[in-house]
Amino acid sequence: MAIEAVYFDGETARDNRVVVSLEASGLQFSGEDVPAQAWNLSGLTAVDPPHMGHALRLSHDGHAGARLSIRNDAFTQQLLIAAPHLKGGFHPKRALRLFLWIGGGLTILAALIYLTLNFAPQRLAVLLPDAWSKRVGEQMEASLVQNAKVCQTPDGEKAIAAMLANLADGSPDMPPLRVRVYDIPIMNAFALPGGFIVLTRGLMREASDPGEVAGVLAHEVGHVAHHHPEAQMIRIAGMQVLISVATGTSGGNNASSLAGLAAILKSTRDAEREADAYAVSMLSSARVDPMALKHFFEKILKEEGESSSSAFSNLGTLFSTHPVTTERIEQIKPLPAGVMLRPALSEEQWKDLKEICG
Amino acid sequence: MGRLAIVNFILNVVTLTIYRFWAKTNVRKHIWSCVHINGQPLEYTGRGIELFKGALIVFGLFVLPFVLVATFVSIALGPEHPALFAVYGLLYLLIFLLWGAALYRARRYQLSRTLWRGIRGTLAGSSMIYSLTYFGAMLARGMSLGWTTPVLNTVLQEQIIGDMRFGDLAFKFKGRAAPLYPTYALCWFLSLLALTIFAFLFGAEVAAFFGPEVQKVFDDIFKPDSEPTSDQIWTASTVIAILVFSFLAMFMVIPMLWAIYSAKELSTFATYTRAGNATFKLNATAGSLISLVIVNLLILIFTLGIGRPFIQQRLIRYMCDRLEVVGTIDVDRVLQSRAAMAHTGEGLADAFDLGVV
Repeated sequence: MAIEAVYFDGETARDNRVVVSLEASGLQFSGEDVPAQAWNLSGLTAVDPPHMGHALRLSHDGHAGARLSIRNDAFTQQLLIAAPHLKGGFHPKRALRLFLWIGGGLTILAALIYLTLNFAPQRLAVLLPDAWSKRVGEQMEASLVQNAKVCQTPDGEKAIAAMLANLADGSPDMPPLRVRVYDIPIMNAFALPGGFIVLTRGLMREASDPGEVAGVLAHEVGHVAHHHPEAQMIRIAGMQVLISVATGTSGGNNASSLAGLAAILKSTRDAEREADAYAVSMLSSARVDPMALKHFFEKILKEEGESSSSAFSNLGTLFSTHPVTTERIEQIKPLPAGVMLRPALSEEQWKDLKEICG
Repeated sequence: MGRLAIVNFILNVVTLTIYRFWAKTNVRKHIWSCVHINGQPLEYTGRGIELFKGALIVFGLFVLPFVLVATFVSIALGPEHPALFAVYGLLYLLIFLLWGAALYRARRYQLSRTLWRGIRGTLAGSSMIYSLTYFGAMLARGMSLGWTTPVLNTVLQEQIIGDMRFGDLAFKFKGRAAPLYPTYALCWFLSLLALTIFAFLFGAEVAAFFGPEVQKVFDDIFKPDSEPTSDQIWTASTVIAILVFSFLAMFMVIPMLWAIYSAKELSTFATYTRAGNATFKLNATAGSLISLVIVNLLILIFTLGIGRPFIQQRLIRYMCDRLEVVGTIDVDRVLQSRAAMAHTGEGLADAFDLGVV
């Protein structure tokens, strides 16, 4: 069966009438200005999926750019029987290639996310120059406390220094710190990059024993010692830039926004466990009873849910930034019998600390 | 087409939108083959992998370095340091500078993957020159309160159409911007009028909103344990409805006014265009453009974005239905393009579309 078809050679835009026949060797065709040639069937590709009533456009591997357009349903049907791959449909090879490319893309994406969220922060945090983390920590402390005034009385500050000295006894590797109490009603404690620790008036109010404050403070020192605030800062900064790039918003990259701060202050569960372990070991070396911290946690866990709303409510309470679990509480064990315990502060110093905010 | 749209949508979701390059390619293949010029269909020869690689390259050379630098600055200097704003400012500047290049390169890629009678197209010029012109035009447009738009659009169109080739056949674009000005002036003053009216309505509305009577109604309604009367609810809802309505109307009416100019510009530019002995006529009208855009918006909304391929198809069908080629191209003399074909495409355009800002 020989039919008429249109041939484009891919060199000029001219259309050539050719006569095509289907032979064992493939499609044979020739025309007035087209020398006789044969396209073998396996090299054929259909430009569009074949539709009866429409022209079937064919290209061939060996003749890039050349096109053969056949408008004859009977011939097309014969050709499709001889070369069923022209019908299109599922190509396992092509699908596999697509799958590999997309899988590769997703892997890169997952690797980037893992790098940003898990791998890089803790490792980079250790390398961060002190000057950098101090600068950032200072900026963060300022935006964290907003207009709240810092509580400073000479005796109160002496009490804080005394508590730090007591805690450092037996822990020579305690990092340099600056601890301040702010006049903030909610009960919370924050460790910021650069060793800045913020305690609130609410915390002082709730604590009934210097050991409780010392426990919370030791926990925050644990965060500082493990560079958790720096790591979290890197994590959030990387994430915010990634999000801002992906969504086209530029407002996200602003740690002064409370949402951004809250994200930075919220520790991961692993970080909490590490800080707890540090606190317990620090308290033990200092011979301060870790059970005070345990009692404090338990007391507040009971009171959770009654949190009052205030200007700082979006900062959350101690347990929203330091998610506490009963498992965490159970990890705090008493010191072995026979160890001589000592108070975290003397009666007088404790009174000074309680009254630091007036 | 419906099946294509749904399959594309599902695969896009499953692959976290990475499939979009292949989806785009499939849709183009389909639409291109539906377009017949003088009885011969177009063919799209692009491949999804080319778009994917283009996007990867831009991600590696442009997006990732920016992310790293911005993160570094925010950690090193603090999140509120002016240097961070400088970095973001630089990014914005770069995006504006490259916007034209993104458009140009995307157009070039598509033309180089479009065959008609076995011959492919291309853009023969430099994307950077176009980009600089485009950037300058953006600045000039803003500084002249829009009044340079017809001139600038004509210059830009002349540049891109003048660079356009079908095989070795060059397109030509020649014509003045002056005939566009009456329509432009009409649209400009109508928009100004509309803006004034809306500003007035809005102002009156806001004044009423914060006026003592309405304020009292709202106070009463939002008082704890209040039992507002139906009168009060009626007042409050009217106030809110007018507020929302006037806002919406402003966003609808002004673009509709500008459809008059767009139609004029499209049809004028068509008559300025030549390819060989062929000239073009485009019968674009404001009404048809508005209904095209509104129906497209409705499709997008009611199919939750799945119907996007239909929108592309409708846009192309609009052009095909209304574009008339007058005269002929001597196809026997058109030789294949010798321009080098890039192996990747549309990376920048994809990045900007995603909103790298």
